[in-house]
Amino acid sequence: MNILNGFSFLFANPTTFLFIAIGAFTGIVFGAIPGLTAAAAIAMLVPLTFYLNPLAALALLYVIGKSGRYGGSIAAILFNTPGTASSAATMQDGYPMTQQGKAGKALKIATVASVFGDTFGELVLIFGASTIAVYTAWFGPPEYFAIYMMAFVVIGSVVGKSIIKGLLSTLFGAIISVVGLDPITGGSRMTLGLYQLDSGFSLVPLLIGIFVISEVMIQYVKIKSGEKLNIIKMKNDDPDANRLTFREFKQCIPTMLRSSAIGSMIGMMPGLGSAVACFVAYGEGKRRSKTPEKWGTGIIEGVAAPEAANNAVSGPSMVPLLTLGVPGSTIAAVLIGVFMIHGIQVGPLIFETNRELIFGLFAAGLTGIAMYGLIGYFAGPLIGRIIMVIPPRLLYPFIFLTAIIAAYSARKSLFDVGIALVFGLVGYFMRRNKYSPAAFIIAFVLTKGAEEAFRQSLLLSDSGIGIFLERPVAIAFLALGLAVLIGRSLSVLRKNRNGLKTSSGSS
Amino acid sequence: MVRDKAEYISIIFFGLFCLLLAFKIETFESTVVSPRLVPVGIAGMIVVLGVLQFIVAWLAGLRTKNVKGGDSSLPLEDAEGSAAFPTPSVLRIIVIPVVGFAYIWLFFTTGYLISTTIIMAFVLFLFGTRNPGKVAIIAVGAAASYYFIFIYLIGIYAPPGWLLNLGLPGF
Repeated sequence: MNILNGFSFLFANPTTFLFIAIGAFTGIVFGAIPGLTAAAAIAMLVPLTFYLNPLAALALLYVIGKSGRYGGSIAAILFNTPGTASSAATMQDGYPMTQQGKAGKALKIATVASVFGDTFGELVLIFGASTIAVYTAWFGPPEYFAIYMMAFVVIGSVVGKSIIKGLLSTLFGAIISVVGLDPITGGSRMTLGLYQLDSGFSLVPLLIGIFVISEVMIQYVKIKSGEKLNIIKMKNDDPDANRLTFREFKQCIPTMLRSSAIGSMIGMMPGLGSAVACFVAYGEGKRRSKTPEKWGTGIIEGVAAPEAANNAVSGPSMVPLLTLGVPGSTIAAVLIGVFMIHGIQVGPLIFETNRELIFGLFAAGLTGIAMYGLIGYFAGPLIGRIIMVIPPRLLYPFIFLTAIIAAYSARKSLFDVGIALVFGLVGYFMRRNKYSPAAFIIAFVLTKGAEEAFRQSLLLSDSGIGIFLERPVAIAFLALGLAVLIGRSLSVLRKNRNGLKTSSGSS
Repeated sequence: MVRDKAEYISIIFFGLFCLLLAFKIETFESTVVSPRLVPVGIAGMIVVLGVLQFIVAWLAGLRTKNVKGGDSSLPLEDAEGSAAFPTPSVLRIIVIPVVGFAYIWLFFTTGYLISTTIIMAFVLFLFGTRNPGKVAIIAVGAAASYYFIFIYLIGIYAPPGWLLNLGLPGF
């Protein structure tokens, strides 16, 4: 019944449909261009959402996140280059299908699987989030602090290959976040004497620097190094090769269901994300297949599995955001910023204070899935052809210019443009040295809340820091974070030991 | 190997720099939790993890990693984008931010429209478009379009340049 109220709220704001359509198209295009991501699109469009009403602003960015995950499959299938990290597994079977002249079929199954997975995940969000929020509503500052600590440790330790680099990425984001005036005493902290930093770093220039400017730098370096996109002309002469039959769709249903479940579970864990989901689903699909030797040679299940999983992450990644105020992904972290800009406090009470808005957002999500599904199914090949035609040496100057004006427009400040450029350098070195920009951004967003919860807990406490050990829920979350850290450390140690054994065995 | 050592030492120095700044934060006796506590804690952890990273790499006998192509069977970080990094000169790395800072200076001096035209032309040239006519047309067209959309339509305020002021509507 609540989702029906959500749809009626959506229809009461009909201009939102326009922004959902813009989000669907923009996400597909950004996802399809190798190197660009939905996060880059969101970073550049966040300042424009300041002029929109809350539902339109959130719907636009939320749908970009969904369609961007799907858009990455276009580059993976056509160019053998993942448009986003979450479509890297799609390349395994998608590109071989293109080489066999079946690019159209591959794109269609990618679209169908993405819509399937995304809808599955969205239903998990709709029915799961409000149920969980009932239990999390009574959490106090000690519980919230424990949740933030768990999130920092989990995100830092599971993202990427190196635990230390993941944790350092988290700490970099945290230290940047504390710059500014102290919220209680009003004294300045680490501002280097610059009055422009009294209000701290703004999220928008950081996002633009880390995701967009760094990508422009990377592409510049690649162009100068002579790297080119691997393009095969899409053959149109065989109509069956570019059609998806109902029989083929039915054949993929078990794979899509399993992959959607995998993606949904992974999506609820902060920090894991689509990139992990797509490979886990691909591996599981291959393992359960009657013909595993065919995976990797160009079969439709090999495209359906990762695409269903990576899009199934989208909805459930909002569950920790809405129930605990902890973002499960970079996109969710940006949405926290947008909620705050519109004066909306994120957490379990959002279902009491802004019920219509939240279910309106869920309705917008379902509408966005339908829109990007239609655009992708009928226009996916056309978008791919257009991207082939536009050379990167023309595209990236425009992206650079857009990034500059977007960084400026957030606070009408050229200082913010300077910040974006500095963090462009930071982002470049982070990505080159395998640190995690996603962990950095999530930590940046969460640290203020974590510090506030910590200080409030100590104010409430008679036993000082012991308050965190007096609350069972707080202990449980802290223990969970520790368990993930230990588990991941053991897994890395085991992998390193096996690697050493293999290399000594082969020598 | 040298690059990795430079990376770890940079992190340690960054952590020490943050620690120094954190210790300079003014404290007040009336507060239960000092405003210095959390920044010192975070900066301290950066130093500790930086040292730990250095020790782990030294113990493991680190070899130089040249990441070309990447291993597609391993999970990539979400929203990371590119996996392959050719090893460029320092100039190629810093040229885009330097152009960006030049843009800021030109913005102050000549206003949005002229600065955008000049920088767009330069960036097109940097990225490899060599036909002067094409560069000029795209640069002027792009600057005019961006001005129309962002400054005029959306209404973002762009101050006139102190040296040159075209006196255009929308300011």
